[in-house]
Amino acid sequence: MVEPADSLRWISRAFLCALFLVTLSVNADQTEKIYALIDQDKLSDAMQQTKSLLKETPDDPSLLFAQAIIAEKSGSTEEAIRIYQGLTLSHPELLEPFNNLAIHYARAGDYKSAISTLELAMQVHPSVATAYRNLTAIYEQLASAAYRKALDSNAPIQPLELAALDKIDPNTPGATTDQPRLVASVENYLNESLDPDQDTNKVVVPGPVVEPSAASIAGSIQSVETKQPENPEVVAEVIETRGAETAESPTKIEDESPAPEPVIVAAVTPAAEAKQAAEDATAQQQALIDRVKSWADAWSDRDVDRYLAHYSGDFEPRDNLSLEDWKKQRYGRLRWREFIIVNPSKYSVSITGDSATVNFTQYYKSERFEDTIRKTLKFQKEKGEWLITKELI
Amino acid sequence: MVVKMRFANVLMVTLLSLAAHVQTLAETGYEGEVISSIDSIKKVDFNHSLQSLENLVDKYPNSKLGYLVMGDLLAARAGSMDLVERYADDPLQLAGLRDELYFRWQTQRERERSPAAQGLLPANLIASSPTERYVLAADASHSRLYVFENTGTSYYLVKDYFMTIGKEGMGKNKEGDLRTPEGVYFVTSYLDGEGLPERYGPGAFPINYPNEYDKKLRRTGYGIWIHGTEPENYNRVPLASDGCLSLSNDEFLEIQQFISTDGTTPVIISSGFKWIAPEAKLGNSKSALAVLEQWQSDWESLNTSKYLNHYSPDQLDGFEQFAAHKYRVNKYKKFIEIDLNNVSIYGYPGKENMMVVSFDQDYRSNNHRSVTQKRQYWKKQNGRWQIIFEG
Repeated sequence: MVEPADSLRWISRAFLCALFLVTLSVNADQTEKIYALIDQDKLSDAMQQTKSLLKETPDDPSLLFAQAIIAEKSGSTEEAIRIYQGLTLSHPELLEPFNNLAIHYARAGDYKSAISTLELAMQVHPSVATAYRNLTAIYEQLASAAYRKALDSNAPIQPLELAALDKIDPNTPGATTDQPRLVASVENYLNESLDPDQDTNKVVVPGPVVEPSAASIAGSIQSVETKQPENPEVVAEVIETRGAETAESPTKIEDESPAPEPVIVAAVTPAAEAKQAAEDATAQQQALIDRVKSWADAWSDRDVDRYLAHYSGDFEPRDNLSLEDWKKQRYGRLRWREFIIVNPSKYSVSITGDSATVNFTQYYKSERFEDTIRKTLKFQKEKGEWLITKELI
Repeated sequence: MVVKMRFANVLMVTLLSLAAHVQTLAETGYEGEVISSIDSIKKVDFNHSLQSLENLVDKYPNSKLGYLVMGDLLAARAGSMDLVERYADDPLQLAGLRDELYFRWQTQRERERSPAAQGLLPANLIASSPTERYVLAADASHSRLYVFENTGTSYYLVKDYFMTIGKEGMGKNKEGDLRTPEGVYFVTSYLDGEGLPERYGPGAFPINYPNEYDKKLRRTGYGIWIHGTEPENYNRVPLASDGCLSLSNDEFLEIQQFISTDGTTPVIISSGFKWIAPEAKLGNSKSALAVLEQWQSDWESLNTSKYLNHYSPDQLDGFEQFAAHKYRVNKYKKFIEIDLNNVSIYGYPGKENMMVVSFDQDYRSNNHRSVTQKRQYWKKQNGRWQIIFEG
């Protein structure tokens, strides 16, 4: 919750963000001077210089950002919001405008918009979202360990599920070597981000043998946070480590039963797979129904990455669209809806070896459209995972 | 007369003590550390509060409360507020810890504004004997045990502790009902932990439940103690004993210094105190002592019927025989002189119009002399104080 008393603090935070943006500016030196003026509260001078520089480079994001900060500081909230909104559209690769825009919404009490703005920022920056989810998972792990002690509980701790990134997001500021970096257009960004290789791998790290020390991890997180952005070396290091872990336990384990000892997990995994293969038809059917449900959930959550992860690389879109174009289209359709509700029901499932067909009733509702149809999804089992190859109405 | 002399000093000393009475207890020790961690959470300083909780459980490895707050903090950070459900094998234990936290937090937060900090006193404290150096006052509604020092004319709050009472709460009536008795009790002895099961901690102070009034009401049960905690827990949750008052072992060891085992440590256990200003306490002492003094002088007057008016015919067991006996012996008395020493008077918790009076009675008459310890239960009925038990 942001209260008026916090405004100074967040303005100074915004200022720090802005300093980072300066390096993106075409006129880096002059832009830096503008931020210095803002810092000294010489707002009209800053405004004047910003305006004249914007005449040369009207798209310069750090100048626009400076303009927003000046507007904020001089009390023109509406103008600041307008500029931030523009920046989120023209420069979705920058997190800062999303962040500050969300603060404005929150301060106005519009938490719904604040949340969707931040969620959108996460979607546009899947690696940030992944890092955030991993952080969350680790905190959850620590919380579980503490609760077990507090309540003398014997309930097992869920295995720690961390997602590794296997590619540097080309839109991460600082990821390219060109300096100053040219900002990608929205179209480019969307195309890039839809690269199927971009999807993150789920890695299951077996439950910790030694219960982690909350403070030590919190401490290390804090230190990472402070030197966080624009450090490709750190990112690369993380990927290497994760890669090693992936090699050791490549199989995704979704186990509701008590967390096994880590060593046993590795040894038992092939057997578990064999057992899974021997599962009877009912279990397979249930797995497919669950798959349809999770597909519908991802769609309802407008989580494009999660939604697209349900599709096979062999998926054939309708209307002769290429897979890439279709994904782009889906991205827009999911992302720009206010809300989506997808409710599947009344399933019929048929399985032949590694392919399957699920027929079900689909209720769909968004702010624009509502219907109930009978839908068919064809699945193919790839690496033990059911993926959609065809969608029929 | 001792009673009158005692009273003469009351006013002056109380007025003197008033000015110095507003006191605050520092937020130190286990509870202070728990609460300051929570304070840092309120200030949204995540890393600092996590660090202080980590320090807390390092120092007190059996602090269930520390781990619970730590779990809550981390779960909140993870956005999994219902994670705790997964580990709440016993929902009552979780609810108990939450209650404990609430009580401790409330006590510490309200510390400055609490009745105790403002120098108010439980209305039950009316007068204490000089031999009663400390009075323990247990407030079940706040899970709090107060230690008051008897200053002769008033009381000074020395320390207060979080405490645990019976699983089923207050109002002990029957053996095995897992309740804590409400009433005026006295510590009778000390039992060393060596000879006790682990769950009592370093030792135990039994109190005199059932007291004379409990027996009169045919209440059963025994073995109500003040004791420590089993080693697995730093302390127990608010409702977790079989009827005893349980403290953390650290605090049990600390409170020992305030407890005597010769019957001079009163333990007033209440469902909730009415707190009054020392001036009001003064008024109460004055009127209670006046009642006692009237009884004393009517006895000395040899006017047997007037003396017997102080006893309740329908509530005092064997009133008829008692009255007949008094008429008989008083016939031979030429004079009776009584001194009352070490008078203590406590309002009975849960009974607006009842008080327990204890004293050493020095009785002299032309044909008899005796020194006895006496305890009387007085009850106010139809505007008149009468004795319902004497022994």
